[in-house]
Amino acid sequence: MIDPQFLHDDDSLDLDEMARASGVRVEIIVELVSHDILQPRGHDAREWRFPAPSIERVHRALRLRRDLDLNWPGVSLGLALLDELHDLRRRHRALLRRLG
Amino acid sequence: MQYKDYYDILGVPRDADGAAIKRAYRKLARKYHPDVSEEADAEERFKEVQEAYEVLKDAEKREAYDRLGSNWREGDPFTPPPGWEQDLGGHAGGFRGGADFSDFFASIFGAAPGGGPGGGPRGGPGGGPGGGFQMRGEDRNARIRIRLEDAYAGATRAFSFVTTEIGPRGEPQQARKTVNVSIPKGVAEGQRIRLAGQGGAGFGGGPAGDLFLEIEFEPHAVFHAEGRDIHVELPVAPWEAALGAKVRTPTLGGTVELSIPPGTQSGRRLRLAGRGLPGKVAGDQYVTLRIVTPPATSDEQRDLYRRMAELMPFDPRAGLGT
Repeated sequence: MIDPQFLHDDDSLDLDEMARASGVRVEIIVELVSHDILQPRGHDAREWRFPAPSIERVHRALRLRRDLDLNWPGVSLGLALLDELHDLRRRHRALLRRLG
Repeated sequence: MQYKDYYDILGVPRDADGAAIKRAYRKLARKYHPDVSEEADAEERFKEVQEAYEVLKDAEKREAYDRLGSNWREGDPFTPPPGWEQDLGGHAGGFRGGADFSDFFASIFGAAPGGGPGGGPRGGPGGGPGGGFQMRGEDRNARIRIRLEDAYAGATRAFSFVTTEIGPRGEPQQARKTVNVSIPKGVAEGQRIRLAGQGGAGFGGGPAGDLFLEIEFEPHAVFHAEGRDIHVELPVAPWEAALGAKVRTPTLGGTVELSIPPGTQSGRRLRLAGRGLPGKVAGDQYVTLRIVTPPATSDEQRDLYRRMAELMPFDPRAGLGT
């Protein structure tokens, strides 16, 4: 049986852990933060704490940048809109289900 | 193996220039990118589009592809012409790790170094011939539907999905897998479960990607959830609303008694603190009261309503200026 790892917003990683868990260099994480693609808690890099779902976000950001030939501001905008779209789709599905 | 019509896949004519090919690719990539699209076959389509672009954007590869001739149609049975591989010389390597490129691609341009036919993962750094490299497999996403009761109490559910595995001869093959997923108590809709290593197969000995399951609730006859809060509509009789009453109301944890204050109107919302989905901070249950009028089927019952009308001068539409 697979042991599912639940991603809770309160499981947090520091900068090094985040880079290791995502399989990228620390500089990439710093770059993603500077473009608001990742939003750690804490003021400076030594204090940063990343919620666990950020790992998947790093992978998505890298895929979008590579496959759609985007720059980081483009990735940032794309991800923000996708988040919104995802949330709206989820609500939409929930509403449709309630309407039967 | 089947012929792939790369021009047809990108929707460009055979004489399209580089700019037109790039435009077509970008348009389709935006449409079918698995991170963007919700279409069921998005991933397959995106891989096809990537493969077509990989060939047509590269003058050398495009020329080689064109040399196969233009009489082929998408899906035609295909075998490379005799002597094809030697003819192509060394440039079979060096593609940038395409998305599980097809056998057709591999037969013309060679497989990625160190991988089986079409075994190139997305985003490989494009190792040259002999320069083996490792790549982590792709992450995959899926939704899992569970009952609200399971979210409340926790449960184990079997979940099946189709995944790509590297077969005995190094070729990627589709396999159906079933895993038992334990749903922890208090999971909310939209929350994600990560099944480490259950995503796409890695390449060149690289680790497999992860599978992310997003929780979705099955529709429930009584309750619906918003975040950790549970909502329920509770019918009450006019006298219960007017005079106040203790009524039994369902919660996910069982029936509880709810006090309805006197003078309650329909639509009033009462909160049962902590009766929603459990968690570090448990959700609440919101009970929206709906006053239901009893049908008057006998003369006596109709008289009772008439008496109420006489005794209670009441205009429910007073505020509407009618």
